[in-house]
Amino acid sequence: MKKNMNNDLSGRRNFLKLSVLGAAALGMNQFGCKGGGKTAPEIQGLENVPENPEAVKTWVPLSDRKIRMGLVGYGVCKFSAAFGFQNHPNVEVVAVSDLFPDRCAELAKVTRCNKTYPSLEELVKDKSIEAVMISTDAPGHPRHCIEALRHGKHVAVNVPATFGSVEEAEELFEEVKKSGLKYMMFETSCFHEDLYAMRQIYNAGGFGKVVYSEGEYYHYASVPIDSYKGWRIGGPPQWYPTHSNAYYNGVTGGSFTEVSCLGIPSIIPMLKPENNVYRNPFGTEIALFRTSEGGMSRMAVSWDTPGDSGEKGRIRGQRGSFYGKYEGLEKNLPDLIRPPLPPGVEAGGHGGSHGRLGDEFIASILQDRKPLIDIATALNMTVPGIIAHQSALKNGEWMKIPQYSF
Amino acid sequence: MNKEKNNQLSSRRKFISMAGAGAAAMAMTPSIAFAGVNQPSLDGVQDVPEQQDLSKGWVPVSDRKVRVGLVGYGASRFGASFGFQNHPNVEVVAVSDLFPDRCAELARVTNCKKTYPSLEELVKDKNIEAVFVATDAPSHPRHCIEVLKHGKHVATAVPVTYGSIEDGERLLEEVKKSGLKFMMFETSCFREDLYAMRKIYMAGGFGRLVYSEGEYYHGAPLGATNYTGTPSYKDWRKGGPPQWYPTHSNAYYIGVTDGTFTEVTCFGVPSDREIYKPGNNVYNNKFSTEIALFRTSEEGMSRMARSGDTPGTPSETGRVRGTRGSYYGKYEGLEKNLPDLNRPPLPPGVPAGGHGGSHGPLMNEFVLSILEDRKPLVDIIMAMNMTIPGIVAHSSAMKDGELMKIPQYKL
Repeated sequence: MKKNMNNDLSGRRNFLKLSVLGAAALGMNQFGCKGGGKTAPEIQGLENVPENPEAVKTWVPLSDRKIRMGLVGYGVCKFSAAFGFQNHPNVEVVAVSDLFPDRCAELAKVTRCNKTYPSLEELVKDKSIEAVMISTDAPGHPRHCIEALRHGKHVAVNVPATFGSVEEAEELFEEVKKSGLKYMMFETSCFHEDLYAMRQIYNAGGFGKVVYSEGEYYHYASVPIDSYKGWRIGGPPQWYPTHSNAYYNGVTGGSFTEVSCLGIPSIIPMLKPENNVYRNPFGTEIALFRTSEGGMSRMAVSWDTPGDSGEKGRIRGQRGSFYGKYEGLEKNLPDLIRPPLPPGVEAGGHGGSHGRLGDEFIASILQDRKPLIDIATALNMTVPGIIAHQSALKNGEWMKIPQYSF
Repeated sequence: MNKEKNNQLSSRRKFISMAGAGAAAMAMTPSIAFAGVNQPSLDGVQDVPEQQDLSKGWVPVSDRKVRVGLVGYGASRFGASFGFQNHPNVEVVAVSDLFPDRCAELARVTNCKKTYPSLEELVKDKNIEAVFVATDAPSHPRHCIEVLKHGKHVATAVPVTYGSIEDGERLLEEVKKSGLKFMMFETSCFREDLYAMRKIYMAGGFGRLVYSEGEYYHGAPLGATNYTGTPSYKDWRKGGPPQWYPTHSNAYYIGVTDGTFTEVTCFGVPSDREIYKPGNNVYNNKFSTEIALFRTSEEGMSRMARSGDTPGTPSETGRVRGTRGSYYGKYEGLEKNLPDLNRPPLPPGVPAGGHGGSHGPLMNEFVLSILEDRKPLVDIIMAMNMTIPGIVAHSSAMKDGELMKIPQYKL
């Protein structure tokens, strides 16, 4: 039942016993954006998590090549600088860009880069750039990725892969396939300590078939977080589904085939349909998905319920479960410790996932292999949320979900 | 927005701020179940050590003794485990179990002299005012009706009906007609966390509940081989549809708010266990995990989960999220002044008991409802609104998740 993937990065040390992994992730504290300015609002989930020193492995360079990168987008989360590319030994940051000149200058400063462009469209024309990190507004993601791919550049992008449009998802899918270039979506949950461990155990057969899983992204905001052209204002919760969906897709590599989703009308003003461009009435959407292995998942996104918050999940399979730790029938667990970080690269925010996402993308280029969250996985995490919202608008009608494989 | 009900038993002390109620319940050690050898462990039945003096603040409401009959001393030994025999306002007049050895043992542990060979015989005893029915689940409605027809108050273990809406509705009519007390002993209702949630909800601290979730995970003990499940009368537990036993989980909405579930879509996952293979159980049931998504009467929703075939720590627990706050092991939200969240005091000598210290408080609530002539906390309406949705949920699962309407019960 061993299904080790070619994108499994763990040092293949032999089995070791698991104690209580995931405890750090479960007890995450709330901080704002890392390095955020004085007026940056707090965004839940961006917190850094201290590394367990015993859990640090030795990073081994794959090559002495330096990938020439462009970084785009330095908005409220300051994300294009947050994944450690500027500190990675196999990266040279060639140019940066942001539509706002002050942000662009600041991005250049913090990444010690001398070249700036006024837009992504200008940056991708730079022939010396091999790969681009896209940290722009979510609705711009598919268009920006396609633009980068058409100019022959590998592309990494923040979540979600597409914001509410299945058509744009499919266009992007075709473009990635045609290009032969690397595409990776930076879903942070995939490198949470607990999810990473779940994935290793699943691939080693320790869960058997996953019967039930649940993921959640609870993030209360009674006033909007700043966003380019206000794209965040009143958005449908399930259009931002990847933090939660990762707790199935990111564990198993499987997909959701059908959904019934219920939306709950909100009392928050911006989540009234007349107050947002999406005509969205919901602040909480709870989706019940049928999975490709015959199990099911409950995936929850809520913007309008104060209190407990976070990006979390749990799974139950025929052979075991993971609720903060593994409990089950498998006695010999594989190595569950996350991959090592290159010297100088911090683990970073979202539960120590940032540095590892950056390193995984670079390694996929250096090794010419699929990155962990490739286009098929990215769309299998993102598109089900779009269909879920459609289901919620139809009072929970069962709907089929397009399947992506590559 | 204060909705304090007449069934709120807490001493009405002034607001106290809460630290982390529910911590004890959440850290329960699994499977300490029953004393005695060879007894299989029933997950969730364990006692929880209480920190404070349970009887502190208890004031007797009467010196009357309610004359009680106890029926049923099976795998869970429930006839004796709620502490009727220790309550100062109770006299255990007679006990019964169909098996003579169990009947004798029940009489012994409750210090009762009189035994009857069956419930049907016991209820003829004119001296008895109230009966606790701890029999096999499929018989609960029939047994409760029998008790009511003989003019006695009745308390029953869960669920109120097992898979039959008709049986449930027949019992409902009988309770209404009788004017007698009926209470279902849903243990989750007196867990420390759920009890606190209820108090906070009634005081407006959650606003409207947007999402809630409850779960009852209870499978073979880890590492157990040849596990055949909890023994049961005529094997009623073997291969039963998970959502026919829905009250431990559903209580995490119904027991918090007094609301109802109006519609359900439920997924069943076919089990790999032998007992769920076609022809291997009388229920023609292939599911050991059923996950229900309910629409609630206040326009929110609930995810209620049952699973018996996924190994891991067993649990009967839940969480709620509202427009003003949430409860995940503790309250976090916009309300600064919380009401008293302590569970009601118990009479001296009554242990809190199993299922998170809920047994004693359930029994005491039933006795008080008789002494004070008021509705018990889990009355027939709440019992039906907790139980029937699970039956409809299983029907939905059998139809591949079809969205189905749920009957609504009101007095």
